[in-house]
Amino acid sequence: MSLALDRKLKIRAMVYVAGEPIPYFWPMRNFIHHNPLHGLEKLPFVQAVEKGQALFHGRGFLPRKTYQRFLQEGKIDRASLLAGVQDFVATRSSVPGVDLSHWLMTLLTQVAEPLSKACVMAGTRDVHHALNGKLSECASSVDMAELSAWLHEKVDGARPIYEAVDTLFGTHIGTTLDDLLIKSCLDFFDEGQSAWTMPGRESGLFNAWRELSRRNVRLFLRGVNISQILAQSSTPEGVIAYVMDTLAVPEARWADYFSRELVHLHGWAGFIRWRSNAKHYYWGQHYPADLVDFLAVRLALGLALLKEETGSNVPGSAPELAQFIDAHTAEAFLRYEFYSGNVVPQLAAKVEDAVLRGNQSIISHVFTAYVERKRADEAMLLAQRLHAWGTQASAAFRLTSLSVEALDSLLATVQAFEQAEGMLWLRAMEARAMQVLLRDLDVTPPIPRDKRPFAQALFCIDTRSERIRRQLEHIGDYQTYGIAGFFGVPIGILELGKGSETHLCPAVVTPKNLVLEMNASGPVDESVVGVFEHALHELKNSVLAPFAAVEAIGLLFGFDMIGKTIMPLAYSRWRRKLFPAKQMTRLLLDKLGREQADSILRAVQRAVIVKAVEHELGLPPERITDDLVRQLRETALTNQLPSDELAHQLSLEMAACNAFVTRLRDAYRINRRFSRLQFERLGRIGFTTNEQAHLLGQALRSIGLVEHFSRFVLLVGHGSTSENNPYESALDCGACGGNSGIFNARTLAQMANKSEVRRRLREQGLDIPADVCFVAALHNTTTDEITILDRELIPPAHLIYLERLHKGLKAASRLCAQERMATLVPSDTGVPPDANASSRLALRNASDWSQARPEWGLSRNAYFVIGRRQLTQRAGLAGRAFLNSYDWRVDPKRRLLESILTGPLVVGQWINMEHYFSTVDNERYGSGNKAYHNVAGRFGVMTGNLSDLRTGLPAQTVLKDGHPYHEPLRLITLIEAPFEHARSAIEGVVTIKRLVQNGWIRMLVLDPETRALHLYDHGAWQQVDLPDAFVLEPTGSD
Amino acid sequence: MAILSLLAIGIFLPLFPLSMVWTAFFKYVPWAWLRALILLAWPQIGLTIAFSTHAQLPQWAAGWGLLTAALYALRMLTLRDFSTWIAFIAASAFALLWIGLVNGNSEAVLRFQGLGFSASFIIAAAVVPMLKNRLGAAYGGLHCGMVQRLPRLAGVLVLAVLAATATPLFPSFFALMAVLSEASFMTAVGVLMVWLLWSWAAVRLLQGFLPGVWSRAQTPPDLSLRTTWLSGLGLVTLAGAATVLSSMGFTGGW
Repeated sequence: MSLALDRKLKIRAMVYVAGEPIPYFWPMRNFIHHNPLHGLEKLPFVQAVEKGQALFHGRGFLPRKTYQRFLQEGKIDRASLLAGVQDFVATRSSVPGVDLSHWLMTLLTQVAEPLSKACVMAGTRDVHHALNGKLSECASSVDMAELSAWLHEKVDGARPIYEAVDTLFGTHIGTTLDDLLIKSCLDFFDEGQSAWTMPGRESGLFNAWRELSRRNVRLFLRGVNISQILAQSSTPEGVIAYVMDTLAVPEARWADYFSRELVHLHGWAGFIRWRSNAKHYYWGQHYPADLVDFLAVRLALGLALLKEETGSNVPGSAPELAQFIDAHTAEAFLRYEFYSGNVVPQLAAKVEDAVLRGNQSIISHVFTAYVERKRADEAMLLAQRLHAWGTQASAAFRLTSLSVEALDSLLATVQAFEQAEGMLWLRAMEARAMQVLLRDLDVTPPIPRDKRPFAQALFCIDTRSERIRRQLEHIGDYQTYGIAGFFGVPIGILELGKGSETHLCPAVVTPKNLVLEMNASGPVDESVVGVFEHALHELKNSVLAPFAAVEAIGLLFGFDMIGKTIMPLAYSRWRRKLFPAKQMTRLLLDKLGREQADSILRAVQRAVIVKAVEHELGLPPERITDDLVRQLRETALTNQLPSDELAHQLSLEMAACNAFVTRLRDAYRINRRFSRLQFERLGRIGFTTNEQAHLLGQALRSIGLVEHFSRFVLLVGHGSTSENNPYESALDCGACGGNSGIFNARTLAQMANKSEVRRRLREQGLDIPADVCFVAALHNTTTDEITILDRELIPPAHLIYLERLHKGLKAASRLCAQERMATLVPSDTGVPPDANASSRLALRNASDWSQARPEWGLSRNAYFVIGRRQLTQRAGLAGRAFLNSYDWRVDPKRRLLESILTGPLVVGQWINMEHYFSTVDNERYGSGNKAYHNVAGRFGVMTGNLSDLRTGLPAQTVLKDGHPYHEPLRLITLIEAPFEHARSAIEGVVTIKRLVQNGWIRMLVLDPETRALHLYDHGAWQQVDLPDAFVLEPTGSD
Repeated sequence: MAILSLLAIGIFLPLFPLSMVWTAFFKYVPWAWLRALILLAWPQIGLTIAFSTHAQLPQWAAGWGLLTAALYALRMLTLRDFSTWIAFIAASAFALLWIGLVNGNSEAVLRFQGLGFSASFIIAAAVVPMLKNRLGAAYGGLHCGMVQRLPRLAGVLVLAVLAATATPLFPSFFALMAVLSEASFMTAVGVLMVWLLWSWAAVRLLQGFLPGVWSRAQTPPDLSLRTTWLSGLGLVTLAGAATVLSSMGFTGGW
């Protein structure tokens, strides 16, 4: 069956649209925090949450019990909650004799479980009878037409057919389908984890899978006749069309249908979506796959499994399903109740017996009894709950006096209220958080300094920097600033010893410039341990060797296991001594001239050829002359033909010499094509002096550091250390693409210390005195250690101050660790561990392979403050704030503010939303318990041995002892700038404008000139004064 | 008369299709104490009829008993109702007594074997009302996640099911060993297959109760500490008694 082109394109477009709500999933090697409802950000927050619930079955708010606990702990503002309830009541009609505000407030704060689980059978009249003790008067008949319509909505709708069949017939088509598809995805998308790879991957996901499926013994043994389906078309679009036509789903519903199919494995779908759009992703380029392929595989397998189950009774298409429900409504209802787990327990056995027998008269008899029992049970349960609620409200007697109409109105009000209560809680929680933030702000004008500070330090805006900045400022004359962790310098880095480039910038940016890390300490022999490790790695990748290796060297792994487990810190220190110390390196970040580039290329190729000759031919160094190397290079690049002399020098026959030259071209890539690529890459190396001056100037102006430079200006990038942690990258710098900020810090420091760069900045009005030394440093967020980098570049005159700087940094580290450890491991005695013990504990966490929570990371993030440091200096924000330094006075055209809004704030919002949803529903939006995670293909994790790719954050990151540790709030953003200045900047950045208007971010503007506070709420800006006790008045809708 | 005796024995030591009397009867007994009594008495009645009438038992009855046991064991795999599950495993176990009966085992030994099976099933039957009171029905697959929400009840349930499926050192284990010791090689293989099916059925049953996500809005109260300890003590006592009696040779060759 070959499809017309227009139909193919239409199907592609439908799949594209169907995949839009599914967020990207980046490979975990560079973990990118993202909003799981990113695809729904065009909707207001409330609507997006509802849609997310429908698509992903994920909860958008915490359970009521948890909010009640927060209320008791003082994390929710009761007054705001009451105001929200009153606002809601104002939109509803009153119920005679019932004080709705009081009752609903009681419901929220004193009733643990929601009341209004939807009743299937019982109506208001039945509940009324139950309340009045007249259960026997409940109705006995059922409106079959209404029941049929209800079943159509529940079962039919846009659900995949097999899902409906599973629901009605207790089959497990969905589970089997997911398993088969996941196995195929694991095989195809593997990135070096498996020793045996799937054949034919180069032809794409669908084609490779198709070839294998026709010969798949596993499918054959299961009796799954996939060949017949695959024979219908050789293209994924053709297969999709065939399956949908076979299932007789109307074309108008296809996009919806595709959506439902894709969200079943939204982790895999998100990964494929990202991969198919990542232009420079090696694996995506070599083994292409897109959502159309994925969907075609899924639909084909689904249809084959469905056909396996389809018989005389089991419907196999949409019309058959609809017909079954209409013709056998009673049976369909019993089946739905039983297989969806909602069956009345006391009648479960009878219902199962009836549906298995299939005898219509038995079914009818059981149906009548079942409906009667279900109606009574539902009415009684709801009546009991209403009564309990009334008792809590000290007015239970009112319930029995209500008429049926009044009771109906009350139940409708409760239902609507419980649907809206999540937002009430959230807004009340945000109100309290805003109070906490605003209470300690310092809005007084800054006092001019009489002397420059001892040192200034630029930290990443990451919430973890807040603590260390506060401690550093506390212990000495230090001034700190917050800037995006890549310091405004997006680079690709080619690290020493690595063959591939890493992007060190936000995920949405592609860096144009490449920086090379060069060895500055001379050649180093590979250590014995390094060779051994390499050999072990090769051994583990072999299929059969491990069986023998276990017997031979298994004990060695035992020593390693015992050491890592019992004394992780000491063992890791000892292990580090086995490896040579890290070499001294320099960064090549100046633009290369053409000759320089050519010279470097030649040098690299010569070095590779020397290695190749040593390794492959075993020639001693004295025989590998420059001339030999030059001849080999020229021959490999086809500038000359292989000669007898060359063969003689290599002590090879001519044929062997030709083979070696071919190997140089193929394996070692000494060829023209690769040379051209490398030359292009070399052209990307470095920055011109103008570019360096521009980047440095922009970075300094964006944080308001334009004068009064101190002797030391530290550029502190951050990274983390942990063992056995697939989420390691999530603890690194998000602004650096999930990597450490070490290279960005070093790059900017090197640029800033150049006299030529400073001279150009001076011409622009930014004067950095000659005695200012920019120093790169690294803040390890797991241990809180701050390590100074490139010490050898510090001028001699500054060395006398270095000890004081070291002491200050060390003291701040220890104090920060002490503050942080109290949250990680609460002391049994109630007294937090001292600085010594805390530092040791932090170091241990970083080296303990059994530690599921080496640090909290960005958990409890709540605020994003854009303004001067003085504003928040007095506020102990407990590591909950992104602090981005900004001085509006040096930004008259708002460009710097817009740049902050476009970049760091968007990243902050992604981080905030990821934490939010991972907390409110860790099973659906988060990735569940780390203990059950297994790495899949080296790019993601699964739960157990086979599951969807787990997106979101693990339980250990956002929960503590089963309760939320992270408080799920929308990001409360505060901009310190004149109101019009800030408002125009927000309006000028489309992404932020949409996020603010749709309620994904709570936006505050503090005007330093008028001291007025402006809040964006209910679609408009509201001015609020800044009193000592600051209370917001939210309303029921957002 | 002989045929009548055989039919009667076939009802009380359930042989298919007469075993349907047993399973139907057990399902409709409402009270837990009555079920316990019936579990205890049923095979004893069958043995009493067999020995008091000196019925001539055909050789094929042993094979038919084994097939009956296998049939009910297989059928157990798909059962979710715990009461029915107990009825079926009892039918399967009591049917195995035919092997010893046809081979001419002594009455005392067979009675102890019967008691061994019955005692283990009574434990399982005692758990049924515990489940019904808390969950509405003793029905697997309706309320998963018991291990997290009702850990004591989950623990007692597991032990009860293990006891019923002839796990060492419960009485049914010794009874089954005794059956095996009297069986020929092929019959023993058949008995072992039945035992394997019991284990499989046990896991499938427990899967419907223990793991998973708790779906009910509220969690009923778990077993009290006292009840848990008493249940545990009861199980340990039973296991101990079975071990001792078995070592004294009461249950036969093992």
